[in-house]
Amino acid sequence: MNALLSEHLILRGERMVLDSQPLGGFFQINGHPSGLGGHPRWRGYAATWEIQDGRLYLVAVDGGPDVGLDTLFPDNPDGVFAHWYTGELRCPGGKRLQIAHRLYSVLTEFDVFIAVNKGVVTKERVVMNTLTPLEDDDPAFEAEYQKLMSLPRNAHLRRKD
Amino acid sequence: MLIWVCAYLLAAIPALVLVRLFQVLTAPAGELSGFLKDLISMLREQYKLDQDKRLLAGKWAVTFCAILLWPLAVAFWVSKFRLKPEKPARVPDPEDAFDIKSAHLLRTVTAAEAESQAIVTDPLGRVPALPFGHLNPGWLRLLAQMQEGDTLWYGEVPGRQLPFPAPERNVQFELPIGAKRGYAIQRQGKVVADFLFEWD
Repeated sequence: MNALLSEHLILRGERMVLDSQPLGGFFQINGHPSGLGGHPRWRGYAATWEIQDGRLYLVAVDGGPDVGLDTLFPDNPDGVFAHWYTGELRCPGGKRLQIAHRLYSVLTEFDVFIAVNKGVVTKERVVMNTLTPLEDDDPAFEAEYQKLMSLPRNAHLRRKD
Repeated sequence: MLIWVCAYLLAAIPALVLVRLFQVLTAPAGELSGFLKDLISMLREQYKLDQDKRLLAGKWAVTFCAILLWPLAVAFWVSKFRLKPEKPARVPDPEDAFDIKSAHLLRTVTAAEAESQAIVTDPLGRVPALPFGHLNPGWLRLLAQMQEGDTLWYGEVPGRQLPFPAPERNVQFELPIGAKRGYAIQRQGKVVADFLFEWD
């Protein structure tokens, strides 16, 4: 996974790499906007998403000089509620372990999974890829989550938007 | 007890090495003892005999395989020149162009019913107050394709469930990947247009 081409998700104030593309289907339905830049093999944009009050919002789109959030959604230049998305977002974190064979991305020390139903977050969980999953209703979830995010090697994830 | 036996045997190894080293260092240059000479020459002769046997066995094996397999080679060569019956080309299905196909249709709905279930609200007001919110243009395009006699269907495309609990090397998704929901227009038993309002 090339971080430069990745989507990003701002989760609890942390900017993380997002290994999902919630905007892909949107362009499929509404057509790809003209002027979307990028390499032909690349999707042509990098979007930034944010979880605010348990909802998924699209807050920025970098699609070249002519395509941005304000051109795609002129009525909502500050953010767009992603009500069309139902699925599981994955934010990989920590040190890279290996190239994943089944997906296009890498396997890292831990993953944050966010289940979303029609744009509304229904569940969060952290999976240590060498340990057992830790669910968000577990009493240890918050402490472990903070501990993981504070590791020195995750400094790049703590960059504020 | 076993440990002591092993330790005793292991202790003999450095002793043997030292003895051999002493022999080599004290022997006249370039000469070996008679026993070693005999041993080496015997081993060389044995190796030569074994090598001859291996070569002979290899030749026999190749000959045997050639005798057995030549009919297969000829049959393969002949089959290349035989006329093969042409497979009927797959007739392109118009539904291939759509995500929702006839197999995914679940129930018929009216446009009004669909719109009543598609009200999207957001506390921050980041969605238009229209059916299907930001996807409203796509919905209108679908309705524009409706003709008399068409039926509007609700459909779901099932996603792929990755193995869970997954082996270490797999990413551990719990939900299916690639599930989609939407509406489709069916005309004469075939899907002719679709509109997705929810996907992964």
